[in-house]
Amino acid sequence: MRLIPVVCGALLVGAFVQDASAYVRSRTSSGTPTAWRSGCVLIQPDAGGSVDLPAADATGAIQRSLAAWRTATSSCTYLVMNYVAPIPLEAHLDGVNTIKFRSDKWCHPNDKQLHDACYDSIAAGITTVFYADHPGESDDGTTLDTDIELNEINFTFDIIDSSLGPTRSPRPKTTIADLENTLVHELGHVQGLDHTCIFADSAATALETDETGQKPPHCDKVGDLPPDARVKILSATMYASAGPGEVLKRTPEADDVAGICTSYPVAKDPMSCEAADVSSYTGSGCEIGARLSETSGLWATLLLALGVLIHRRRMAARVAIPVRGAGDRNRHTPA
Amino acid sequence: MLWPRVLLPVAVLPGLFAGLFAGLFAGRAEATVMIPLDLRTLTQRAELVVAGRVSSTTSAWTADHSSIYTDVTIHVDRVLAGGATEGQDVVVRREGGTVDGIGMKVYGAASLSKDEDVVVFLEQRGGHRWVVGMAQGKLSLYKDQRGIRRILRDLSEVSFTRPATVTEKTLSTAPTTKKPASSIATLDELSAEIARLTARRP
Repeated sequence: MRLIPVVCGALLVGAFVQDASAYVRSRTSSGTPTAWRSGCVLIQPDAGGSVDLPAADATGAIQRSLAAWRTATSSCTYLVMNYVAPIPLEAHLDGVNTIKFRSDKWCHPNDKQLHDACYDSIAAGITTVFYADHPGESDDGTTLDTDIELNEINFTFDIIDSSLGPTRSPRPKTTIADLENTLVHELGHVQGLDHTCIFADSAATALETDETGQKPPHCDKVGDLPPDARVKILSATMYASAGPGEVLKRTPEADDVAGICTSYPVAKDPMSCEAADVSSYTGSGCEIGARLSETSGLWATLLLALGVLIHRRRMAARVAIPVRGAGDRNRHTPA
Repeated sequence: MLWPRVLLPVAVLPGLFAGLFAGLFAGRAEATVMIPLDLRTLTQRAELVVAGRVSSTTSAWTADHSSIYTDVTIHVDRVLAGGATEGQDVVVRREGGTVDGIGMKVYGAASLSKDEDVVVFLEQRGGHRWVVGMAQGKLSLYKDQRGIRRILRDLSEVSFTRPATVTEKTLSTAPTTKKPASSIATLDELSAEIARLTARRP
């Protein structure tokens, strides 16, 4: 029984790989794709919440965003992102994958060295990823920590009605943004997907290729591509820009799904759900370790146990439920 | 990183394109607060626009050892706007980098590597210079066969924009937004256009 989904999953991934699609995987300085080594990723919002949305609405949007990826990819990937209840958190390297609304200032957390280094106002959300950058080593590309920061200084987040439009007016001098649309895109980054086109060349982008081995196109030249390629790049959830009030990115598209299922194919399921050992990678493990133990040691243990339980249950369900066909897998409801 | 749609070509036939853009979103209230990062906007936001070569990059942990930032030194060989001099070294800060075997990446941030030839639009934020508009504020330069420095990005085209209700079908059948060939293909032409734009600054 266990072999059936594995074989089907491998076949599905093979089908994806043969497609000419556009997804781009994030890579290390030596070109190794970044990826989680565990079978699960725990996503935990900061308890501070949003200034625009009631806690229940924000929580619902986060959970639906996680579910959107789970629904779209469950038949062909082992990786699952699980929601964990909010606690006070900061977005930095601590082993906790945080979602944090920034409503006081659109800046990196205070650090005496940084003097309130602030992000660019054009970004509705920013995802930061930490990974092992050890060229030639077995752990090269291992994702250690990811954080999503949401810009409530320049944007007003809403749960936009896909039929009726925004449910609220943007605050003065802000742009309306759909929270799910933003989060589903950022959660693609959390899993290791980069944008489907690039804005400028550099040594870093020289290492980037799409799944066909080609260099991703420049974003300003996408209009020159054949219609099929153009549609894949522009309609992907991992396309870099979104219009005000856009909801198209709420649902991962086939190309996004292919990126995840190639990165984490069922056939390579590690059958584990473990948090990355951040302290073993940091030169000052004591500080990070101490912070972890002070703020979330018990939580981390409990959440890890919960993650293992969910992962095992999901594995059991995968054996019991036949894998859907490729047609079902790729069927998405347009937003 | 998810940013608003980008418009790049307003440097060419600005009135026409601005009109087209306004017409495209007429009746949609949210369009008025959209942030188009065309050449005009990049120039307006920048306190300094320079061309030069990346001479060094230095990545470091923050004092609390929780994030990595990289200071990029650019040896300026041409000042397109703002107060700098040729031969000066300008330090630009960007998010991310690699230290002690740990890499940090902020999706969408400008990437600047040693020995790259670039034009960067820079603004001051929090005591440091940053690239305006993340990756959008960096243009790669290369020399053609005649030794003329050219801009790798095509400033003639609007990035393909799509209404929020667009479907895949309409995307595939819609005409591209390709515009006439840009008059800004070389560093000299970019410099002239930026000079024209900055001359209009209030």
